[in-house]
Amino acid sequence: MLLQTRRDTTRPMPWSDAVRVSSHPAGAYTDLSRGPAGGRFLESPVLSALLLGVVFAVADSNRPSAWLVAGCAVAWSFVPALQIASVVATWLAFARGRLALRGAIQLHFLGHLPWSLWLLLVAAVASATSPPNEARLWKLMFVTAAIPFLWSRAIGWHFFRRVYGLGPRGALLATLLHLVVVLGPVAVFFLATGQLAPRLLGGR
Amino acid sequence: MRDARAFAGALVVAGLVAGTAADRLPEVRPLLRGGYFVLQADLHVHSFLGDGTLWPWDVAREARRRGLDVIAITNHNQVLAARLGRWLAPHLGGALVAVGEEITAPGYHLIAVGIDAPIGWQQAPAQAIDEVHAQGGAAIAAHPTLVFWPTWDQAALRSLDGAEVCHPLTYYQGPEYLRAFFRRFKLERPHGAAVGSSDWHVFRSVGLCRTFVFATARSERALVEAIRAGRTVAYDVGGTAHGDPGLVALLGTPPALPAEPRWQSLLALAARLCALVGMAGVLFLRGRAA
Repeated sequence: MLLQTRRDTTRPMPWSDAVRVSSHPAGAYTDLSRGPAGGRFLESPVLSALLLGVVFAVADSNRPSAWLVAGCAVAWSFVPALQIASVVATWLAFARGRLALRGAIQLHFLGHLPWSLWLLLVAAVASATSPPNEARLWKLMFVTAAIPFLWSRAIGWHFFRRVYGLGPRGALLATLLHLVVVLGPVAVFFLATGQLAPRLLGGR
Repeated sequence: MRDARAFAGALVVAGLVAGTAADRLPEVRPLLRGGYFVLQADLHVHSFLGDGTLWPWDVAREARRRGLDVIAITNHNQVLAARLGRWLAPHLGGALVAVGEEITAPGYHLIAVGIDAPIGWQQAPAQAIDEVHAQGGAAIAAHPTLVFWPTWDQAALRSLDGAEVCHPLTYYQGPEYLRAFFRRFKLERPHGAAVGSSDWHVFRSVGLCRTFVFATARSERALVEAIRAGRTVAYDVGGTAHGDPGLVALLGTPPALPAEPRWQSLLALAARLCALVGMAGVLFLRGRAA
């Protein structure tokens, strides 16, 4: 997400490559994977952490103070860190000789726009929702979270097909590996600290 | 616009500057009634390192913004974040942080306040309550809705110090289930504490439900002592006051939430608009062509 990795001076479109990838993932990834990687290394992960900082500061406090945004960005930086770990894992497993790791990370982060957009919308709605009505906000979140999840999975599928050059079976395996690397450590943390097992056992 | 993305980035920075300028916490005025400090408390709050979204010291600042004197950080089956919060929050202008835990077991959820070490969840509620008391803490039944009732037997109810009678879920489920549990609890513990808690994880509901604690001092120890002695008042979502009628009368009309000056609200509005629109611009727009 977040950054334009290729600079195309002939293209009049004002939209970022993240928008192109989100709207036409197959074509955009085919096009973008041909050229050299642009943009600063780790710019996208850092901007991801900043986005999370802004979103939680606005949703929880209604004011994005520098202190709160920085605190939230640091706290939630495990999310882009896990995304990088997933790219490293899938790159090592499937695309080591095909492209540079830096390029894989940058192209992968372009596919985060659906979640970023959803988070911004949730923060905007939350900031306009009074605390007694937050139950409605929860319902809205649960109902709409399927959209960025499925959308980003579709983008991820095309990332593995077009950027890594994998067939359908390889793309499926890469998707599963990605999910394990992203979700696994979170599940392990909550299991190890006793926060998950009672809920799994009790169903509440 | 020559470089729309840079402009969007500048909007984000402007949002952060305005947000920082609007980040003023309200003045603390101790509420004194009948020789007690009346502490406005939220005794069920989650934070980061658990499933809350803010660091414990930042939750404490948000609690202060909403007029709370004290919060208990009660992550599920752990106390690490709460201990960090208790250490750091006073230096950052936040509410007092009491160390707590939401003992989360398959059949019950129990709030422990004023403890230091985590309490295991693989035991009956009466045993868990005994452990809370052994550490000098207070034990409160968390959101005791119908599904949890079978676990709360007579022995457990007799050892409990308090029960939540106001919780955000009552804003859409109604107050009846928690009221009914509280009546059942009071049959076993006539002087048990009425508790209102927000079970905060995210958004701005910290302190939405709160407990007025009649404490002898503004400290964690005094807070726990007051809960165990039943010196609390809580209003449920229907507006009914629960607690000792004498204390309800002593409290009188509950204090209003702190009001922000208009300039501060407007600045906060401008800050979040700039930050959110700016972030969207950074996401959506191309940078300047090379």
